[in-house]
Order: sequence, then C-alpha cells, then structure tokens
Amino acid sequence: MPASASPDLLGRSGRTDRQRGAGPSVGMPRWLWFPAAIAAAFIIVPLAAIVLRVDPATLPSLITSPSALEALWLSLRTAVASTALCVLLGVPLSTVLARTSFRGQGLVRSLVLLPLVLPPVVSGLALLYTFGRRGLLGQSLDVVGIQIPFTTLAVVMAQTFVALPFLVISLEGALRTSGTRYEAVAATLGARPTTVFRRVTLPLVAPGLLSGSVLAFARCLGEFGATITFAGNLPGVTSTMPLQVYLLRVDDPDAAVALSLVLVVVAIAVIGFARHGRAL
Amino acid sequence: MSSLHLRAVIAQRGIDVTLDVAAGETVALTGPNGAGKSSLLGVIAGLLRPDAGEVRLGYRIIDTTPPHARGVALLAQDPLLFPHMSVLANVAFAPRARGVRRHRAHELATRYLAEVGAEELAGRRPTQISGGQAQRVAVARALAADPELLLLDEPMASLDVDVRPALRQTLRTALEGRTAIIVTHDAADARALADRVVVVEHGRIVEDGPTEQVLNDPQSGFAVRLVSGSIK
Repeated sequence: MPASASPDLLGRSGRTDRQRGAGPSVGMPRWLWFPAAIAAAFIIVPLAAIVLRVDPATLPSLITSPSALEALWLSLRTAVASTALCVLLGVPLSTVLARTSFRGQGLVRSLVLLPLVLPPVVSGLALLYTFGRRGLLGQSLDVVGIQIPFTTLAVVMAQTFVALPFLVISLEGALRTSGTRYEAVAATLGARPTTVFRRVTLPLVAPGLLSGSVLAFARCLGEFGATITFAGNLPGVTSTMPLQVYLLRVDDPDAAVALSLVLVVVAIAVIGFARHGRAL
Repeated sequence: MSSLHLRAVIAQRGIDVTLDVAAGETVALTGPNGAGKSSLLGVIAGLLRPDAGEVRLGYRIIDTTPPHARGVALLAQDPLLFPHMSVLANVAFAPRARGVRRHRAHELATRYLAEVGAEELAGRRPTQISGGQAQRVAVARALAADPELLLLDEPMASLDVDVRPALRQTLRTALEGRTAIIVTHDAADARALADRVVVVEHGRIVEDGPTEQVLNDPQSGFAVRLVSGSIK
C-alpha cells in the first residue's frame, strides 16, 4: 500500500498541509467541543442576525440608492489608493527591516507596527496633530495653501496609516522566510542589487506581498475611527461605507443593514481570497 | 581566466590562510567539516568579510568590490535554481543581468545548457527536474556568467551516488582551462577535476601539492583518511 493512501498513526499522510491537520485526534479532551462551539457561535450568530435582518424586497433599492453608491464608490476608490500607497511605502520598509540591521531597528519596527494595536481614534488624532492646520507639519502646509484634514486625501492617509503595518508584518515575514541564499547566488552571477531585488527578491515574496496587500485592502475598507477623526464624515468626500453605516444606523436602520451586508460580503470574499493565497 | 591571490584572516573561526591559484588551474580544497573551506569561498565571492586579508583576481584587488562586480561565480551544494523562472531563464539570468538582449541571452543559455547536456530541459521549471539535472543546470548558469573564477562548494554532496560520475564528467569538461576552486570530500572528484589539492585543517593549510602527489603520498591526517576512503 502506498504511504500516501492513508494517514499513519501520527497523522502524517503525505497529503497537503491542510488535510494533514485533520488526522486522527489522539488526545483532545472531548469537553473542549463545548467552549469551542460557543466561541464559533459567538462570531457566527451575530453575522447571521444581520443577514436575517435584511429585507430581500428592499435590498436592491437600498444598496443602489445614490448615497449608498456614492459611499461604495468612495470606499473602493480610497481603499484601492491606500493599498497602492501601502505597497509603494511598505515594500521598501519591509525590505529594510528584513535585510539590514542598524541601531534602534527594533524600536523602529515596534513603532511602525503600533497602529496594529492602537485604537484607530488615537491614530486619527495623531494624524490631526501632524497634518491639521495647527499640526506639526500642517502649519507649514497651511502657509502654502495645502489643507489635508476633511478631504478625500485625508481618508486615504488615515487608511494607509492603519493598514501599512498589516502589509509590513506579512511581507517582512515572507522576506525572512525566503532568506538570502537566492539573492547571494544572483549577486555572484553578476546582478546588481537593484536587478537582484527586481528579478529575484520580489518574485520570491510575491505570495506574501499579495496576501499582505489583501489584508491591507480589507483593513482600509473597514477603517472607521481614524477616518472619522481625521477626515470627518462629509458625504461623497470622506463618508466611506463604514461611516455611512454609522450615520444611518438610527435614522434609517434598513439602509444601514443593507450597506453592512455589502461589507460582510466583501469581507468574506477577502478571506476566501487570502485563504486561497495561504495567508490565513 | 585570471589568477587568484587570497589571504584571509577570520579571527573568530581561527582561519588564517594564504592561497594562490594560477590562471587556468583547478584547485581541490579539502579538509574536515568546519575547517573553514566554505568561509574561504565566501570571502573570495564577497559574501563574507574577513577581519584582514586581500583578494586579488588577475591584477584587480577586489577586497571592497561588491559580489556582482567581482567576476566570481559560486556554485553551491544546493543548485538554488530560481524557482520562479524556467530552466532557460535561469541560465539566461547572468547574460541578462550584464545587459545582453533577451533573444541573444536565450541563445547563449541554450548553448551553455547543451554544454552540460541539459538542452532538453530548457522549458521546464526547476521543480520539474531531478537533483542531478538541477545541478547540471546550475553549472550551466554559472558558466553563462562567464566568470574569471569559478567556485564550487561541494557541488555533488547533495546528489545520489549513482548520478555523481555523470556530473563529474560534465564538470571535467566545463573546468577545462578555467580557474576554479572546488571544495570536496571525495578523492575521486579531486582526481578527476583538480590539478592541485590543498588540505585545510583548523583554519590553516596543512598540505598543498599536485593532485597525484597528495593522493599517492598523503602527508596530513585528513589527506590520509581521504585517500583511504574513510571519508564519504
């Protein structure tokens, strides 16, 4: 019998990683099923509740109303722009963190990953005190007539601020995992550092870059706290989907629920995409 | 092809070696594991910085030259073919990196693949070929860089014993007239490929002589064991 036909006693089967995890469970206490079921239900039931709350009859008109479409279009535009900005800034940052060592590097890494755990409102406030009219840089920008807060640019900056660490953390991990051996070979074959970076380093971490971008995109799309603090809630300018949901939740709960459903569907699509790319 | 002059001191590893290789000469570098052989190759290729020393290739002092500009190609134990490129693109990598146009680079790559008897693998992915085939392709890729000095770090160690003779024959042809250093633990490699054998123990050269002389009348402890076949 070939070795791959059935799992052996240790659950090793020569199949794919995902199937291997489902081998015979030798020692799991049965009672774990109970809290595990509660945990799963805790997440799934509220999602079901919001889906059940949707009225199929009015759904099409609610999600195609001018204000809904406006918010959706703004969300997509800003999230795509922010993700692009995350890639543009995050790829160099990840590479510097993964491939060099300098004094204070640990501190720099900790600080740039801070938005992962910082309350988004605080991130928004930090941006306001940097780019606001009286902010650290905002004063100078104001002099030359550039005002960032409460513009679509502010939305993009808020999203980039909170999403950049997602890209950096997954790309730096991918860079460390792929190692420098291929890069060393490429260098001894006569390739300049830029050529090595373009033709060897980046292609090898492409899956990590893709999954990092997807996570960053999802984070951008869901961004609320930093956006409302730094960019405000101006319809068509800064009022993205999550802000619109928050705005409508009292006056027009049906519309809020319909928009929420759209966000849930997008989130499911992102998770499916990321799982496919082995990110999660 | 250029001659090599190497002097390298790596205090932490207790390495202090002076080695000269004449233009067109192939030297087998051998010695126990951990003696510092791979470190020496790293210093020559520019991947490792010695505490003190000098690396001269022909008339060029390349101590501070970055790896890509040294003219030194390194073939490791693992083929390390770029997994995201076809076999042909792997071999065309070095010509492309020095600015040769794609079409011409592919012509060159095809020629080098033929030289190692692997032209039929051109369209395959590195994951679709065997270890022995991959190492052949890696040889072609290193040759395509047109290096002044070729370093081979145990190129056959990760291969099955039965495919070694074929690769050894390939290398024999490829190294003809080239300046090269091959790290090996196999007397057969030294006999087939090297003009000279240098034995390193504890970071020092303990024996250095023409291949025939070292293999027929070994002086150092390691060389005696190498010849008696107790090292594999």
